[in-house]
Amino acid sequence: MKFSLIILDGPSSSQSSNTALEFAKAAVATDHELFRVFFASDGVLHGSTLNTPPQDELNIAQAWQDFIRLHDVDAVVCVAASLRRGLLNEQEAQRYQKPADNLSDTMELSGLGQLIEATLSSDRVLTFGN
Amino acid sequence: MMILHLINQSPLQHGTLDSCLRFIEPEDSILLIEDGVYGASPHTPCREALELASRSIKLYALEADLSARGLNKPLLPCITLVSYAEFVELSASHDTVQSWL
Amino acid sequence: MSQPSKKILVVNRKSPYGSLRSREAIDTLLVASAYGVDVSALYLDDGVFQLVKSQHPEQIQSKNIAKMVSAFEMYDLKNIYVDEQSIAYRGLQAQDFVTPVKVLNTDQIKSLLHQQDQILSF
Repeated sequence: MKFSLIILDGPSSSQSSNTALEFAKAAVATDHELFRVFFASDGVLHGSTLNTPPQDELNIAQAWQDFIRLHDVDAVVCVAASLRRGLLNEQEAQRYQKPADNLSDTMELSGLGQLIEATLSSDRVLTFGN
Repeated sequence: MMILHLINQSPLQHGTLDSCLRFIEPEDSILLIEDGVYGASPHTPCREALELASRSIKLYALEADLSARGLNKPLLPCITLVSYAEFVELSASHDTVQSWL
Repeated sequence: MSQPSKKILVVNRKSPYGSLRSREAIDTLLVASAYGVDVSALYLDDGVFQLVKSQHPEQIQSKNIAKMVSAFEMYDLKNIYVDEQSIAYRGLQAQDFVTPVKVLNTDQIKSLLHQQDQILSF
């Protein structure tokens, strides 16, 4: 079965993206497919390469990026939500003349059309947030 | 169409579970996750509503979230504990999943 | 889009200005409608406050949610549902809203929810 997940909360705002990651791990461990993970709202902050929590805590953003790379998951961060929150790829950093870019190469900046497409193409869509 | 309803807020502090309970149909299920698992305790104002609902629908709670919160004491008997893998299977066996945010 | 038609419902239970979720839900509705998707919106609990007239958020430096909602008609978003009990509890009526809505009772909302292929929440 094809699942897509929508992640709305940031890495430090609630437990929900951890729940979503455990769900995603359990889904790919069986014979299910992850069609897409769409990071919206504060959830886009999982795309940053700069999250630096204390060393004895799980870096949930890094854990998501590692999972996405390992399983070659299609991962999209909402572009409007990302720019608003200071998450930029190289191209956007240049366009807005910002001093740095910080988007993980495991994720792609794109629009809400990708969320709609995931919703239409998946058997089940689950939203995680508060 | 069977819906799996996800509740992730404590019924002691939010009206989310009450709202959800208004719209359930037989064959739906409710899965309590995150702070929603406080609803599995027998000491909440939603106990009666959950016991009544359990006559027509199935109620589940995510074991990892209960255990994290020290909720290992006797829980409402109408609630079945599930793993993340079972969470995935519940999502697959229902037609849609609604997160009550 | 080439995918088979699916019924999508966006459920809104959040107030307009307490977070950005109201705007994200509205953006999603507008994009879905622009793609020609069979999309509906349901407003429940404090979500109904998103629809009320006379919002003046200038002093809190926010975009006007009511103004965004009033674009629904232009986008051909016609299936805007509100919960009768939620609006009664808040002393509101259908004429208090900036866009035409269909007021549904509990049983009608039950059946609306159970007709959907996907339910999105913000």
